Amino acid sequence: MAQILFYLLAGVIIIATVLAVTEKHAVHAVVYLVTSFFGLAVVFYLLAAPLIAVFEVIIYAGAVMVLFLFVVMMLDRGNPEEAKRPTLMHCLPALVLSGIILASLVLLLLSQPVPGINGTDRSFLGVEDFALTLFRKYGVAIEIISMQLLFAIVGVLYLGRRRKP
Amino acid sequence: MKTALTLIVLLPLLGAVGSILLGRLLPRRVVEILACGMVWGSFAAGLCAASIYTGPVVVELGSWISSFTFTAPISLMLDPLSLSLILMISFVCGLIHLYSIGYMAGDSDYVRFFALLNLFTGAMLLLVLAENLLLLYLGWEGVGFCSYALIGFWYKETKNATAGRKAFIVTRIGDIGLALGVVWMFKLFHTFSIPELNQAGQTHPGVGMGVITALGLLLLVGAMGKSAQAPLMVWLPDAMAGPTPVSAQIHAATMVTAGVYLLMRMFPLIGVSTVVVGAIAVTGAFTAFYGATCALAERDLKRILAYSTLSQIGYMMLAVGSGAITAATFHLIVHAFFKALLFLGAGCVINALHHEQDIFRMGGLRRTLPWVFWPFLAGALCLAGVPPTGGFFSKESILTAVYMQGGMFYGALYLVGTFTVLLTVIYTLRMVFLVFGKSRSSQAGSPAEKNIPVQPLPRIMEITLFPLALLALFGGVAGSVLASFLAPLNEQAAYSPHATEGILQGVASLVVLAGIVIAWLTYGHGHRWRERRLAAAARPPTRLVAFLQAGWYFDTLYAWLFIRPYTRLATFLWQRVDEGMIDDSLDWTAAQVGRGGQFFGRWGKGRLSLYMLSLVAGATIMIGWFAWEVL
Amino acid sequence: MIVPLSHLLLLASILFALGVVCVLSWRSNVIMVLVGIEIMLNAAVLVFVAGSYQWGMADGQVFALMIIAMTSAEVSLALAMVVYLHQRRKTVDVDAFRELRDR
Repeated sequence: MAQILFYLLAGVIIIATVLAVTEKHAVHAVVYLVTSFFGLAVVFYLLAAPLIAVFEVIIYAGAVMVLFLFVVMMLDRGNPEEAKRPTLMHCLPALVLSGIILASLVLLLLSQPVPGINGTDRSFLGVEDFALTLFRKYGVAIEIISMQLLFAIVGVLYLGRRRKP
Repeated sequence: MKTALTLIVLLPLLGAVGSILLGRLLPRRVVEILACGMVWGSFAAGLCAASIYTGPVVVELGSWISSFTFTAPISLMLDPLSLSLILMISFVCGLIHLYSIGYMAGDSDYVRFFALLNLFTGAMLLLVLAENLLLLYLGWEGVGFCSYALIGFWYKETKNATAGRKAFIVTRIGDIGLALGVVWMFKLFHTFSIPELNQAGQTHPGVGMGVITALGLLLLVGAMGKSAQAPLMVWLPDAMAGPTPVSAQIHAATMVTAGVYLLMRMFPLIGVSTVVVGAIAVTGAFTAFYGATCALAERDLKRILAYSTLSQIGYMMLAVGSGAITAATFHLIVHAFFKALLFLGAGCVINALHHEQDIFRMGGLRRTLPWVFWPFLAGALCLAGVPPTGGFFSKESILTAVYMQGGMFYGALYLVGTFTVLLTVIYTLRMVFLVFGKSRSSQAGSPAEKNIPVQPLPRIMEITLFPLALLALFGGVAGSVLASFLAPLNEQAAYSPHATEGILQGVASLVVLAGIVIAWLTYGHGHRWRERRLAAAARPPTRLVAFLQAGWYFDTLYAWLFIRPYTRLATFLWQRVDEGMIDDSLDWTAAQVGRGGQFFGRWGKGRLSLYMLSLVAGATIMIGWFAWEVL
Repeated sequence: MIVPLSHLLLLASILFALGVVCVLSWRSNVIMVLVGIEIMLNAAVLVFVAGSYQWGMADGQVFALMIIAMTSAEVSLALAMVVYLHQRRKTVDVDAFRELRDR
């Protein structure tokens, strides 16, 4: 049951991402991306990471993408339907390079034997385990990440300050 | 003897070097006296050598080139031929140096002139006295260079420089023949020494008649170039662009005779081949005829004399080609006297008439320039070969020698020679009548008749004409003396019984008389034909006259045959190959390098998308490398 | 294991490649470039979560959280800069800003 769900979700994710990449209307692209993220969140839930799924939806799809939408609408780029979509010639180097990357990654990942599973087959990694690992093992990382967020705030405030006309 | 011979050659060369180094520092008179003094000193040394002369002698002065068997010492040889020639050369050159003092009085380049004149005299004396062919060749090249430098003396006018170049290039073509001959002779006989070569000859192993013929023809080519014989004669008329003393010295008396001298020197070696001897005779006869016909139609005074020189040297070659070395030498010496005299006289006339050179615009100078007229007339009579003068005897002896050779070939040459004598008389007297004679018609006005004063001549120019006139007139007497003196050289000439000689002399005198009559009628004073001639001269020339005036269009022929294809090839190589291929390929390479640089420069232009692409490309390469490793 | 690890990693690779395509082919709009970066980062998160699922430890999920936090900081700064640049030049073309080029 979970398998079928996973493959369906994988298809949704990929299709949504492709549409997001090729859409010339920025708002449409962002919405498609949100769809992709939602699918990804469900995949995370299936992979015994409910906390990450929630974080994905709240922070990523909820805050970051909304921020994208804010900026897109704020910039007032005129009529996006008249914009030119990048042509195939335009994308050719990108397609070539990403094709090579994909092929190499597939080759690499499929050639290594996977080391065995240790530990029990958990279907659910609870908040307790996650919190214990986070705050005991990676305490310094939390501090650093919070400082980074502080820097980001300061930077954004500076960049967005009101300038004298 | 050794001192005398050394001085003969050394004095003029020292004079040249001295003039070059010190000429600008010394006052003008000193330079002139130095230059003339050197040549007269050489003459004095020659007289000394003549007084103590007992027989042929070879003097070695030192070693010039010496490496294994290739030796060419500086050795001088004195024998009857060279002795008579050096006396003539130094005497004539001395007189011409004196004449030049007056002629170049207004020119500021006198140092270069006298230095070159001295250098020329030294080189010519070296040529005549040289005992081995390499030294002769050195003198040969020396006179060639001086000729080039002196023809183009007033180089600031393109015409003169071009004439000098033309002379140099045409004689160079002849020099190739000479150089080939000399080197081949060394390869065959392993020596440069002239006496040895003349003795080796046909007896040498591996040397057959064909080789001798080839050698002789090569030497003939060299002589053709230097002595302006057909077909290499195109440079001599144009060489009249040089100053008149140069024309007198180089192109009348001395340098142009060097070719004849060479053939005379090497005659024992090459004379055994009848082909060579016949070729020399034909060349001489043809050139004599050619020169006479062209002189008939020529209007420029100096060019008439140039063609006349061609013609007379043709006679000398004809003599050599008949085996009569004595006759050739006799004619050479007498010709030097009267031709130098005529040229110097022409120089006086041209100077007096403010550099007018067209004879149809002269006239009436008999009264105004009497000091020039009489010597000039003497020289002209000599050239025409009028009986009691030296010219008559010399030319006559040549024709006798030709006749005595017998056979149809030499018979034909005799007829050509005699006809040319007729032409010679006509053109010589034409020249005299037109330049000096008076005309009754008021149309053909000359400066004298219109009472325009002619430019007064420096005394010295007129004085030097007299010794030459005397020598030319009374040279006939010296003829027999010379013949006995030169007898050892004359092995191949046929002996002529006195009766035949008398008949031939009579024939020649009749021909000369006929020529005088024709010339008198056509150009003489007060005759209708003269007026017609003068009128005809004012109009554009007829086809025949134009043909003769252009020297039988030989210049045009050579231009069409050789110069045009060569220039086209050179232009092609210049424009298409040198500039097109070589230069342009380098330019193209540079442009490609530039374009390559620009192409790579686009990376740093600041295009963000390109930077991102490069970043991802780098990452791709790394990932791809890992994947490749796995494979 | 609902799905073998290799399938999860394959999905992540596909997402990553799509992200690369998006970054490199949108030269006319810098916002779409940022979208592409987001896709790539998400692929990384998926890899971490898959790893955590494979070995049953929470470390992968912790790092996934770190990535999410870092991404939000980075995106906010990037978008602030985009707004600023748009105010200056009225364009969001990627190639429009060349002041830092080699001269």
